[in-house]
Amino acid sequence: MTVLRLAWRDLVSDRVRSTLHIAAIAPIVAAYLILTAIAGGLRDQAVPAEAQHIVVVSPNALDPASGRLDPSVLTLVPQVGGPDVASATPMIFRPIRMADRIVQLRAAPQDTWEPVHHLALLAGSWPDQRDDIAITEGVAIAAGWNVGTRGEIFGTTFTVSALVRAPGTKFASVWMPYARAEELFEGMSGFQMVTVVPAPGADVAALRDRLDAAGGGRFAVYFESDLVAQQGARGSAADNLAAVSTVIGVAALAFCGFNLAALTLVERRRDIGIARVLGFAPRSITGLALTRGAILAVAGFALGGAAALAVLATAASTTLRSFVFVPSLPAAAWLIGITLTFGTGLAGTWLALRRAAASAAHTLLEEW
Amino acid sequence: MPRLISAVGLTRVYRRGTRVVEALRGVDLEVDRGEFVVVMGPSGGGKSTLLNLIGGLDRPDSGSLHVAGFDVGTASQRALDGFRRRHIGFVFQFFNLISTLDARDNVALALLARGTPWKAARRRAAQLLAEFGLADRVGHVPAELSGGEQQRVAIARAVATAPDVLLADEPTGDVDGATTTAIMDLLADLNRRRGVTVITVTHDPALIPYGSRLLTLRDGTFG
Repeated sequence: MTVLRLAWRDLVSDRVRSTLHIAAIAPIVAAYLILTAIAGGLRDQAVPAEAQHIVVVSPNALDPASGRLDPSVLTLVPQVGGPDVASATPMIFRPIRMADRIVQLRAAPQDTWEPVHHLALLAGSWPDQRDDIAITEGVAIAAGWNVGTRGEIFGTTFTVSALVRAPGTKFASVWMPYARAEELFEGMSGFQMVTVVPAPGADVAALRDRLDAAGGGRFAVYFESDLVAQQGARGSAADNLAAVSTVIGVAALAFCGFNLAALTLVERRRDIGIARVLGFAPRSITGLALTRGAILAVAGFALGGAAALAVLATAASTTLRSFVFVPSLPAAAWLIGITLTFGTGLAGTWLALRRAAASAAHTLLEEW
Repeated sequence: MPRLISAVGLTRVYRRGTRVVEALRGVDLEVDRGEFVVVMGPSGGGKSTLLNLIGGLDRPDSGSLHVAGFDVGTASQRALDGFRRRHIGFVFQFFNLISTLDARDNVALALLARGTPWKAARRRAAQLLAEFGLADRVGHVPAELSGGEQQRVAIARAVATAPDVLLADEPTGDVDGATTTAIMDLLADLNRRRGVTVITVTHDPALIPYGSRLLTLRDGTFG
């Protein structure tokens, strides 16, 4: 208890250095937590999609929403696929602004929502009014919307009539009947995707190759699962970036902790000598310094954690082009963060202190 | 009754690179309880080395040294830590107060090292400072105190644990003439009224009258 009080009093007395020490730790902690939350959100978005569905999109489009398919594709696909194609349905796919939020809109014929796109009703009822729409869980979490929420899209007020669950990249979307979307956008952007459901027993790989060959570069053909993976690759790249940033952050934290402790030690070397003269054992001095370091680590982590939460609270959802994802910060991230903050801070203190604490007191006083 | 301090044939040699410095060359010394010993001599004569040895901050290369019945010459570092806590009080030329702690906590530190509980240590520290005329300065950090006040805080810290020996290394080396008198009066008072044995090393002849015995240390030996 005495050590804790002494460490606390020392930190309070040396306010400027203590504040600087905390200010150095907090941004690194905040950066680590925010990056981890983003990486977690991207990972959560990658829900497995239908492996056997084939999707037709614009070629070389980084984001499907930025492309536009020629209407002839809708007739070409059944012609090329013949009996191997059970259905081919268009989808309007574009980012829209609704109630001051950018969200991903998917519009497909409503009779395909359940059998083709595998939407499952969680709450409310399927749209049956002209201006009804459905939202998925991802949008509900990100925007805080629910059944009954009203918002303006393209100058028209729509009402959320259904909360649905959707697989794959459809996790965070607003769904609208295709005909209503065409009417709303007045055919401005055409459709961006065709979902092809192969007939039972069809050789789906051969079908995909036939469609690809028939496209002649005018469109690209993927298995839906591959498209999810391709889109997920960006998430994965961001995830990797987050991991690299985290490693850098951890290294910075360790370096920062060590340097701050070492710098403090240089300036406080004489104080260590005084403590030794008074009869404090090296172990007691090390204990005091580690307690001091632990208090700084707690304060730095608390401040950094609060900053991260504040940042994440102001951006409950993040839009990466037309993909909406929800940053998530699991308990493990907090645990790893606090372990790293403590571990590196205390290791730095210990490494910087171990020789000085054991030095003969008179040499510490002479060196000053 | 055994002597408080008994040193026989003390030597201490420092090696600084290729240079060898014989700081003490076979010093013999006996001090009784209640003495006020003034050790004079030129710089580099071995005065501070002698205090460091008596105070258990350093160990002799040869010879024997006993202080308050404790064998300083052969004790482990850990034992020396305990020895300093129980038997020794130090006063330095440059005060050596911890800059981030106020006067009370600087004094309390010596008691905390000895295991005194936090509140009791701070209470005792405040009492001592009041006795030394610093009642209104307890909450001030060293930078807010004059040189004389800082040295009085340092003396309060040194006697807080009721040590057997108070070792003062140039205690008036960094203060003016009037403050020198005040500090030496305080040390003399501690010696006279509390029976604290004082050994002070100095260049200043003005301190000679305060001592019950004068020793001169030159080139590592008493002359």
